[in-house]
Amino acid sequence: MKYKWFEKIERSANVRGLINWFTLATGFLYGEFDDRLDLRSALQKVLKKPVPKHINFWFCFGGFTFLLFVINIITGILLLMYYRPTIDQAYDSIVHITNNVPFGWLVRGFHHWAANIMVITVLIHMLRIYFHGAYKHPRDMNWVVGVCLFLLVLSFGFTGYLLPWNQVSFWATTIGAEIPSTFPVAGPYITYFLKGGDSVGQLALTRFFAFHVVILPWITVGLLSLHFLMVRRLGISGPL
Amino acid sequence: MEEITRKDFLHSTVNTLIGLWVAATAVLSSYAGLRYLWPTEKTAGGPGGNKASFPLTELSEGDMKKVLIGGKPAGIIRLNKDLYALSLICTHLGCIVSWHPEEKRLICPCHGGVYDINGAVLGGPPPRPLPSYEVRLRGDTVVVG
Repeated sequence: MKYKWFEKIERSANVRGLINWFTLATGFLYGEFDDRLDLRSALQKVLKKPVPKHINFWFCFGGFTFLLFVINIITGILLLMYYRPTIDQAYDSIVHITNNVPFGWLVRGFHHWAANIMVITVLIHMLRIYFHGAYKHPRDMNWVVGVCLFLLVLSFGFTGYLLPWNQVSFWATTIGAEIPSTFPVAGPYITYFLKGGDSVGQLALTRFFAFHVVILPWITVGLLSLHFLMVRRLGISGPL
Repeated sequence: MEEITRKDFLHSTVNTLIGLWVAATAVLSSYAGLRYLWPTEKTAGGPGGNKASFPLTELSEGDMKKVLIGGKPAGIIRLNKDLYALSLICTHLGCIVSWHPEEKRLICPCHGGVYDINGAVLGGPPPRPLPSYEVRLRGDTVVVG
């Protein structure tokens, strides 16, 4: 019997050995869980879920944004291990993370770049939805949730920008907090609240820190769950 | 033997590659993450020198001065013109013992371990005496370690 070339590779001892080893290593845990929870059919349902034929690269940007969000959660938690949110120590702790902590430059770099790229991917995601008309009924509610998530991404950027407590973050926050002061009636109060006083100081840093690491993330997690549930319920919008 | 189709072969190859990629990413990022979190000399403040010294005038009769030797707290006590240097880490569960000059005892605030001026256990749960350090007077300077 004559084998085809790919069968030869498949049948060669090394490949078989590798596959067997991998199966054994994962099987120890997976088998036990699968036996009780029937993970296989649950996983198959997710992994083998058919995707419409018209899906292309531009449909991936929501997923990219989510991936970047997960990266930012992980690197953000890591940065929390060394960051000190006081006006005396914030800048020094950032320098410490970047220069002294092993792989600190990498963790901070990932957080910085994932945050910046996230704004771009979320905008492309939004434009894709807009030009495909995917915001229309019955997906209009999900569009509203999406716009809220977009504003949350920008709020993350605004609050995170202050935390290194360097010149550019101090003045960017001063200016950013001044913008709402032009709103009628409530404006000056919003500015006063954001700055935590007449000028950006310890109160503003503590507040922005609390917003950046606790309040905004949990709001985002809640809205994201809604966002994904609605995508699953309503499906992906049809072709143009 | 079972027939292996081209499709099956491609499937398992791609799955294996994805698996290897995920495994490599998991290993590398856990390595970086662990290194990031593990305290180093730069991040934990470092053990410092194995010696400490200070002028004798900083330590008055009956008092204790705390220093760090190899990053660990030690106490130098001046009593009846003599100098005693002891580790201050209680041998029971690692609390920092304090010097009580009126009783001339070192007492651990956590579970009441009592040590004498030489570090010997007088009472309480500590299993071992406090380790002592070499201490001497060089001119007017106290040198420990």
